[in-house]
Amino acid sequence: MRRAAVITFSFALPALAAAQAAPERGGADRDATDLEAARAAYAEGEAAAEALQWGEAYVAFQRSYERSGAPSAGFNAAMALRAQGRHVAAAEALEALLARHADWEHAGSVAERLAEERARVATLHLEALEPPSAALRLDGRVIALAPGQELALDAGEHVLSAAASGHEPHEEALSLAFGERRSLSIRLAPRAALEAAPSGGEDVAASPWLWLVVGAVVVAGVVVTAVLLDDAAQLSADSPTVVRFP
Amino acid sequence: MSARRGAALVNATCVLLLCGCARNAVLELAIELPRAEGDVAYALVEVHPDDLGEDPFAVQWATPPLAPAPLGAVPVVLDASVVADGYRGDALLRVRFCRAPDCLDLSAPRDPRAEVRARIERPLYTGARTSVRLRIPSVPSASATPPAGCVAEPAGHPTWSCRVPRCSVAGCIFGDPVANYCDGDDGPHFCE
Repeated sequence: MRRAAVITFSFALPALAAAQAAPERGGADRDATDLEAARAAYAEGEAAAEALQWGEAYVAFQRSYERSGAPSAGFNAAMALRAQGRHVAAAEALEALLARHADWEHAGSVAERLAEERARVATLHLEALEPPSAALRLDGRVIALAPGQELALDAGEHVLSAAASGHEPHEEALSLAFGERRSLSIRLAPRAALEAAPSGGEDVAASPWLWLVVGAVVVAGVVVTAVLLDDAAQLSADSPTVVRFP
Repeated sequence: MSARRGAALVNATCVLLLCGCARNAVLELAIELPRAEGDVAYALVEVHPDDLGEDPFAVQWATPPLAPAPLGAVPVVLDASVVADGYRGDALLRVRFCRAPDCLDLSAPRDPRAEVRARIERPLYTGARTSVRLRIPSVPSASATPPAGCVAEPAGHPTWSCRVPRCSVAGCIFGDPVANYCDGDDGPHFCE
């Protein structure tokens, strides 16, 4: 993965130079300041890529692309995404690049890489969701996915959770391989209601003393538990990012 | 009432008391951040109670911002939970769009490049988990149109000022989980 990205960076360099020499190639008016900033950002991206700092490389190349419109910078940004294992984002970036620079001399390479990235993207297909109003989260983030719809995501380990009022929450770990298409049906179980009291008979269960004793024991247990676990009874945050108000 | 029914009632009451003794409130925020534009590469999100006087956005907030969110080629959703013990007023949200992760880049135009301010009306309810989703379709700029509920503010950098009315605060205590707390323009909240 890293090797492929480095090879890609090497051929992209002259393309940026060409774009700087002919700024109209990017389809937008670029002034000298923009191009100078793009050149500096491109150098930052190169340095970060050399150090395998792909997150920083992506930011720098993307900034260079936006300033210059040079497809090589955009291509390198996509390759930085790929190097991070962000194949969904890489495929989307390559698609956009191909649409915008269809006549670029390296468009064939872009198409090849796009095909590679598409093949790596995993797909989640939601077959059924009960209740339909259940809120879905993937890796803690809210996702909008209705039955019959598909979600493209990166291969690897994920956690899918579903929650709805009056239902037991659901959480499952997903391990997706490159290019895997996984179908899921999620049906949340309604929370159990209080069980109906059994019909009485002339047995010990009908004794009022028994139930008074049971009630007293439960009350004592509840009070002790409530005192001991008062903090635990507070609502907890869903997100790992928490802001506390007084 | 028979002794058995009485005992069952006591038990059920105790269970309800135990389940319902949460005194805090939780607001789940989902902020849809736009794709990176220009030299804007990061979004810094701050959340604060509305206890900063008449013009809370004109002052620095003492609370630290959330971790800088890098903007990419596609929009991302930033999740955060606001946990409040006793505060039940408005929540203030500020999203600053910056070139530097710490929003301290001083090269012209200096950070922040743009800003979104939002007032979320009364989103916190004792013992309830509520949620608000704020969509920021693009980085504010002179040419971009503010989304519904937001207006452009005259400021040193492009700024949108948004209001999230309390009826847009969603929750699910009883009944339909997608129902909002309000049933009208200013109707009773379900949890009040």
